[in-house]
Amino acid sequence: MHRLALACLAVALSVTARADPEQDREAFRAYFLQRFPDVPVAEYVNGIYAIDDKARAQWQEIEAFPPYEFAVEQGEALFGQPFANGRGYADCFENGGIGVRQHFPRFDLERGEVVTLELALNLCRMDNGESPYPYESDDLIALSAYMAWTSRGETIDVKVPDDPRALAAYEDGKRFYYSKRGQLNFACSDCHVTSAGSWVRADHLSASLGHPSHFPVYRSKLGEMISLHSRFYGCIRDVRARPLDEQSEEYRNLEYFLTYMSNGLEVNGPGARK
Amino acid sequence: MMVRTPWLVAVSLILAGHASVLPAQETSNQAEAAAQLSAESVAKSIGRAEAARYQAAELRVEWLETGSLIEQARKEAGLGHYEKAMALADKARQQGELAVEQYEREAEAWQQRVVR
Repeated sequence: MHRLALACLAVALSVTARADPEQDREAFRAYFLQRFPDVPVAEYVNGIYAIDDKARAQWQEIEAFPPYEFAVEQGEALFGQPFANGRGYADCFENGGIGVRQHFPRFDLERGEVVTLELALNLCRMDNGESPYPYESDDLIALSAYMAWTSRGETIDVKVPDDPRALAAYEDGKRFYYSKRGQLNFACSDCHVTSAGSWVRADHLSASLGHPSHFPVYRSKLGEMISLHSRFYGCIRDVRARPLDEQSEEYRNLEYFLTYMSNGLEVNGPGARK
Repeated sequence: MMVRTPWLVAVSLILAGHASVLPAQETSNQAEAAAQLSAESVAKSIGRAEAARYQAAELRVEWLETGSLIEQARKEAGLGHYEKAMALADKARQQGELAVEQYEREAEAWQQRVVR
């Protein structure tokens, strides 16, 4: 009897641990809607500005002259520049690369891994005989900014195909998100789920729902555009863990999970943040 | 009186010298021995710290300052500051071990935080 009870418990735990992505997404969204009942769900794409009125007023002033516009223009120019072989970025993406941001990251069944927009851009370059950009390069971030710009208003629609490798990548990203790490012993969820809206020094912590919708962003404190993975890097460093490289498998899987959680929200990148 | 003064001075100097030179020599020998012992033990401690750091790094959970603590320990050891080097190496080893413990604990614990 005792063994049977344990076996039942084990099965229950294993089912709970492998909850399907759609169940996760619904629960994730419901959590924030309950936590901040006055915030309409569509507002979460604005990050902290969805829940911090004073910061929102400042941000709206900044948006009057968007500091990311230069990156969009630079990205547009780069996007239109043909490679040495005469082909271009448009040849590597559906719809000529216009309005496709909402489908990234995607699980590439052929490669058996998560491909982010930045990785796809570099794969495109390499397939056409060009050298890949370093992931923190201005040019790559500008290209990403332009592609996000052309996708504004599109609905985030990341898929986890019926493939055990895809589900494993999703689960890996989910595990990363909820695992404590670093000397401060923090998980991403400690700040952006449990403590969302709370003060951290002079700022409020943002909610994770909608987090990936607005990247890349211009960060005023740095005076430059940064990618989502650069933000991951900064968060991991802030909890005093050694950050992983941008576009590492772990960060790509994290982006996969996090973006899936924001399915149904609009792309509104690039953005401006403090 | 004039004749005896140099003798007295000489005897005093010899006695004083005898009294101070021998312990100084002894102290220096002890310090050298302690230094040699410390150099070996510091090297071992740095090795243990490096092994702990490596294990955490392999699991991709290394803490931020572990590597720089080891570097500092090496630097201090190179300067002969063995006590300081030992303390840094021990701290680095402890960080490496704690990072691995954290990883092992989180293998299950993370699931309790999942929003359901």
